[in-house]
Amino acid sequence: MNAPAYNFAYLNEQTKRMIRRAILKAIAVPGYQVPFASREMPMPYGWGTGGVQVTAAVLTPEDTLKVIDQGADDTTNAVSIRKFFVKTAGVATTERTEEASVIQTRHRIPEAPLTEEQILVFQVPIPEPLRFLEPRETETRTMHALEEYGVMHVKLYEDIAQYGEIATTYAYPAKVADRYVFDPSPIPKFDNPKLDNCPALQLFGAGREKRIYAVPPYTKVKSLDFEDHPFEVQSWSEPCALCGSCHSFLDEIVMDDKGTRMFVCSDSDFCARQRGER
Amino acid sequence: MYVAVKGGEQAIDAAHRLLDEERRGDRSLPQVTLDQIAEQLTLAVDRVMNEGSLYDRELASLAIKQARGDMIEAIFLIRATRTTLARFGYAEPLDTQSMRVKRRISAAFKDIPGGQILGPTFDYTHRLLDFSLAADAEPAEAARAPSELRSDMPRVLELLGSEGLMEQPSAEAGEPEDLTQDPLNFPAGRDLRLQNLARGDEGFLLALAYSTQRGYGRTHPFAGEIRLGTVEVSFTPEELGFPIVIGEITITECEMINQFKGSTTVKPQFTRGYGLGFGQCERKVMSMALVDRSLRAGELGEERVAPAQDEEFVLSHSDNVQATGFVEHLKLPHYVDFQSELVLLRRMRAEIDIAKDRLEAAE
Amino acid sequence: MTERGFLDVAMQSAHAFRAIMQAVARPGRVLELGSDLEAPDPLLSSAAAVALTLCDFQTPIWLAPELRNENVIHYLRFHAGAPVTDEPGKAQFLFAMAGETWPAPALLMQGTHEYPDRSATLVIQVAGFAPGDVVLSGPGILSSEPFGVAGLNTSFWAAMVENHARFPIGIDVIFAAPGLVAALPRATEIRLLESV
Repeated sequence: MNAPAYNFAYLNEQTKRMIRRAILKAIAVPGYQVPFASREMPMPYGWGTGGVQVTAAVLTPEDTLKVIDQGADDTTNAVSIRKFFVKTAGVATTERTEEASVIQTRHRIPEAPLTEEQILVFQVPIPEPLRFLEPRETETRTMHALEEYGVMHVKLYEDIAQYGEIATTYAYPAKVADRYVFDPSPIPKFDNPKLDNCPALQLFGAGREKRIYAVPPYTKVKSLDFEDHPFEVQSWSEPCALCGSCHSFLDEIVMDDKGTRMFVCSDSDFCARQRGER
Repeated sequence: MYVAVKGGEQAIDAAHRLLDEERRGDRSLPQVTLDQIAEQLTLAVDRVMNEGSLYDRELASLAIKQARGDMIEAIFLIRATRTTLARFGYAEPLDTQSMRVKRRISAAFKDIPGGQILGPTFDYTHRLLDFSLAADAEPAEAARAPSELRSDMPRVLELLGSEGLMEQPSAEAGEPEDLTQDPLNFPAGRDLRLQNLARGDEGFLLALAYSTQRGYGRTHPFAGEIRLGTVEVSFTPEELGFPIVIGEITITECEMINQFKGSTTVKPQFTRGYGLGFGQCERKVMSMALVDRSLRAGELGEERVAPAQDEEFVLSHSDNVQATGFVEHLKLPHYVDFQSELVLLRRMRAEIDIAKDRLEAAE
Repeated sequence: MTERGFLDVAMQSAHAFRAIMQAVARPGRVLELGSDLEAPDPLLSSAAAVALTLCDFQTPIWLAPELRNENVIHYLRFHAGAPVTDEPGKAQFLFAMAGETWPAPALLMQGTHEYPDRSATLVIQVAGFAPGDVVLSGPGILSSEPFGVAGLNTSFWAAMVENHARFPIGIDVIFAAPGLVAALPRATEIRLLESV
C-alpha cells in the first residue's frame, strides 16, 4: 500500500474545472449562490472546505497566500489551512495583508484596505441569508428568483419592535448590485462597509452547503436597513490596549477571574503594524 | 503586559504527536494489523465502505485503525481519499437476481422457492457475553450446504408481481443522475434519494425508519426479502464496447412490501421500498428501504406529515461527514461573532438601565 | 497529428484561469492570456486555452461553421474530452469568430430565474480591441470603461444590450484575441457610442 501523489493544490483538474466554471458564473451574477459539486476535503465540513476549494481553484504557484481566522494569522485553523497549501501547492505565505495576492478568511475582512491585485476568499457556513427564516431550499430559491425579500425585512423590523434596534450583529444581510440579498458569511457587521465598492474580487465558498458566490470588484453592497433605523456598525468605548487604534474591530480578553478585561485588535497584522513592530 | 497567544503551529504538531501516541496505546502489546481488522471487524469495515462510498476493505481497515475505531472519523477519511481517486466511468447495473446467496430470508411467506437461508446472523443468538472469546477460543467448524446455493433465486416480490399484487419498480427514463458529480437539488428523483440514503448515516436512517413504525408516517412494512451474497461487477471500457467482469463484491439487498394503494376502480397493489449496501448491513438496508418508501409519499399521493416523508429534511441531514463537521466546527474560534453579540447585549442592557433611571428621576 | 495542448495542465490552466477570471470580474479590461499550447487553424491559441481550461466531458461545445473542421473537433475531443454538439441551444460553451456567423444570444441557454447559472458562455475570437464602440459600467467597473472590439457591429452590441436587460438570466461573453482576453458578463451595462 503506497501513499498517493497529489496534484497541484490537491484537487484533480476536472474538479478544478468544475469549480472554476462555478466561480465565473458567480462573478457574472453577483450575489447569486451557484450550486457546485463540492468535494470531501481532508479537513472537516464546516472548517473551511468551501474556502479551501475556491482557493485551490484560483491559486497559481506565483501567489502569496495569507490565511486568517477571526482576523488573526496564528489561530489554529488558519495555521492548519495555510500548512495545507504550503504542502500541496508550495505557494509563498505571508501574514502581511499588503503582501498577499490571495487571502482566505474566516469571520473577518482585514482592516487594511484591499487592492485590485488581491482576491479575498471567504469561508461560509450557511450561504443562504433566508435559511433561518425559511428552512426549505425550494422556497428560498423561489424568493430569490422573484426578488421577494419581504420575510427578511419583516424579521429585521420585528427586531426593532422588540429590542428597539436591529439585533443582527454578524452575518448581516446585504443586497449586492441592487439585486440579490446575500449572506456575507459571519463577519461582524463592522466589516460590512468594506464589502462595498471594494477594489478586490471577493469570492465566497460554502463546501458543506455546496454553493459558491461572488462580489466582483467595485460592486455596490448595501446592508439592509430602514430609513428610520439606518445601518450602523459596532464601536468600543476604549481603543485597542496594544496599538491604541480607535477604528478597528476589538476582541475582548479576559485577564483574570475578577472580570478584568482588555480590548485588543482582532486583526493581528494590523495591530502589529500600528505598533510599528514591522 | 498582555502578549497575544502565538505558537499555534507548534501546539498543533504537538497535539498530533500525542494523538499518534494515544492511538498506539500500550507499546508492549502488538499493533492491530489491517488484516485482523479486515477479517475480524468485518461489519465495521462494511459500514465504513458503505458510508465512505468506496468498496475497498484494505483502505477501510486502515481508516478504522487510524481513526482509533471512531466510525464516523474512519468514514470521513475514506471520503477524503475518494476525492483524490481518478474516475474511469460507470459500472453496468448490478444484477442482484444472479447473486451467489449466503443468506436470504423473507418474513412474508413461510417458505419460498430457493428456501429460507439463515446464514451468518446475530438473529436468534442470545446476547450473553461469550467469555470463551476472551480466552481466544477457536470456533468449531460450521456445517454448510452440500453444494453451491443456486445463483438465480427468484425474487419474492416478483412472485407477487406475477399475480399483479405488487407495483412494478418505478423506472425513470434516462441515465441516473450522480450525487457526487452534481450538487443535490430539490425536488430530487428516486435515483438521487437512494444514492443519498446509501451513504447516509446508519443511526440517522435507523431512527427515521423507527419513527415511521411508531406512526410518524406509517407505511405498513413487511420484509419481503433480504438477501446477502456476492455479485459480479461489470464495466464497459470505451475502447472495447462490451462489458467485462472486473470483480466481485458482497452486498446486502432489502425489498420491503408496503401499504397497498388503489381504489374501488383501480385494483389495489402493494408498494415497494428498496435498500442496498456494501457488505453485510441488514440494519442499514432495512432502514433505507423504510425511509425510501416514506420519501415516495408525494409520488404515491400521500400527505407529507412526518419527518421521514420530508425529502429536504431527510436528504439534507443524512450525511454524517457533513453533520459531524458542522456540529464540531463549534470548537473553532468564534471570538469575533461572540464579541459582536456581547457588544450588542451590553448596550441593550445599559439602555434599559438608563431608561429606568430617567423614569425614577421623573417620579 | 494533433496539436499539443497544455504542456503542464495544472500550471498552465491555473494561469489561464486567473486571466479569464480577472477578465470576467473586470468587464472590458483587456488582459494578457499567454499560453504554451498549439491550436489547429483557425482556432486561436487563446481561445484554445479558454476551452482547455474550462471545458470537459460535462460541457457540450458548439462551434461556429468557420471554426468547425475535423482538426478542431478532434483537438477539443482529445484534449478536453468535450462533446461537440450541432445544437447551439444545448451548448454550455460556444466558439465563434467576430464578424462571422453566430447564433442570436437569445437562442442560447439563458438559465432560469431559479438557476441563472445554467447558462451558456459565448467565446468570440477577435483580431483585437479598440475602445470606441461602447462604454461599459456596472459590477467590476469603478465608474465606466470604454471598450471596443475589432469586427463587431451594431447588431452585436444591440443583442448584448438586450442580453443585459434579461438579467439575471442571460449569456456571458469572453473575447479571445491573439495573446489577449476580455469579457462581457451579463451584469454589465452597455452604452453604445454614436460612432458605431
